[in-house]
Amino acid sequence: MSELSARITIPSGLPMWGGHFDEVIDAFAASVMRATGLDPVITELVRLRCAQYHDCRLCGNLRLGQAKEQGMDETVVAKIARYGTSDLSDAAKAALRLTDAMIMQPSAADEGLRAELHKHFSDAQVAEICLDIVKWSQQKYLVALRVETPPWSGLGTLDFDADGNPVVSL
Amino acid sequence: MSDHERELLVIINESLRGLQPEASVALARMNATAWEASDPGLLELCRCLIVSMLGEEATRRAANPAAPAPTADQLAALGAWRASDVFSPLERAALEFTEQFVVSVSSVTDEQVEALRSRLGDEKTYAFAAALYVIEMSERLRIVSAAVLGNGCEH
Repeated sequence: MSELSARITIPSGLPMWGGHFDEVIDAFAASVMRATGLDPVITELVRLRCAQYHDCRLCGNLRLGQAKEQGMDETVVAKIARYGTSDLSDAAKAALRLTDAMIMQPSAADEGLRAELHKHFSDAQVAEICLDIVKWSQQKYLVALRVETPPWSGLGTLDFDADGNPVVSL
Repeated sequence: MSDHERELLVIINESLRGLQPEASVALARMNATAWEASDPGLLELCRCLIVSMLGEEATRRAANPAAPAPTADQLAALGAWRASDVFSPLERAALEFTEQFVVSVSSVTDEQVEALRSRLGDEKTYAFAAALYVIEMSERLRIVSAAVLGNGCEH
């Protein structure tokens, strides 16, 4: 996987061109991250499900700091790939089923999923998960162009400042 | 908000807008910028392919009424675009990239990107791919949020 090389040349050398469009995408991402109605562990499970499905090397090499503080470790991360048969909570499984519906097959979102979600989440929380999935799928175009190589090795920690902007520490 | 952003706000599920207004406005702004970042006619053609792949009618054009519509021949041929001669080489490259982007982005090939890059250059290929992300995920969000949140403004 790490041998995949960039398919276009970006002058900055970063995984973004750096123009107005990038600024608007970042502004959307920050607005989503300013919503804090979800348990950080749920947010992290959804983020990593998107990272795994989209095969994003950058996202896969990060762990959400707030989720780590709540005890989420690599044992929990390892359960995401086969979450349906895991001992993850029912709330986590519902959030991951919503994630799969969004990133794989939207027609899988039906009354059954709606009922399952609302056993565990308010409408505002379901809306927040939906927007999180859009935000955590930003890497799709970076993966398609293979410009999402992390500029570090090992796992970094991802946090967000008060404005919703990402802060990575190694 | 610009008029275009306000116009695009309507593509976002009404319940979602009520529950998460700030992010919804940012999403509308991102959509407006996406349509300006690349050829809107090419994006609309690819959006039609996306919605058909997601199980809806390819003719639905609510996402951006200002974008030039594909021809009737192109819409009719979209389901079997590889066998059709109504698409230009650039359109074919864009459709092939879109198809793989929707199904499994990790399986996009060097050749699929190069088919675009050789015609658009690096910067416009980047802009096209980023716009495709915005448009595709907005369509996915529209379908899923209607199912799990409903379409009303009861909140």
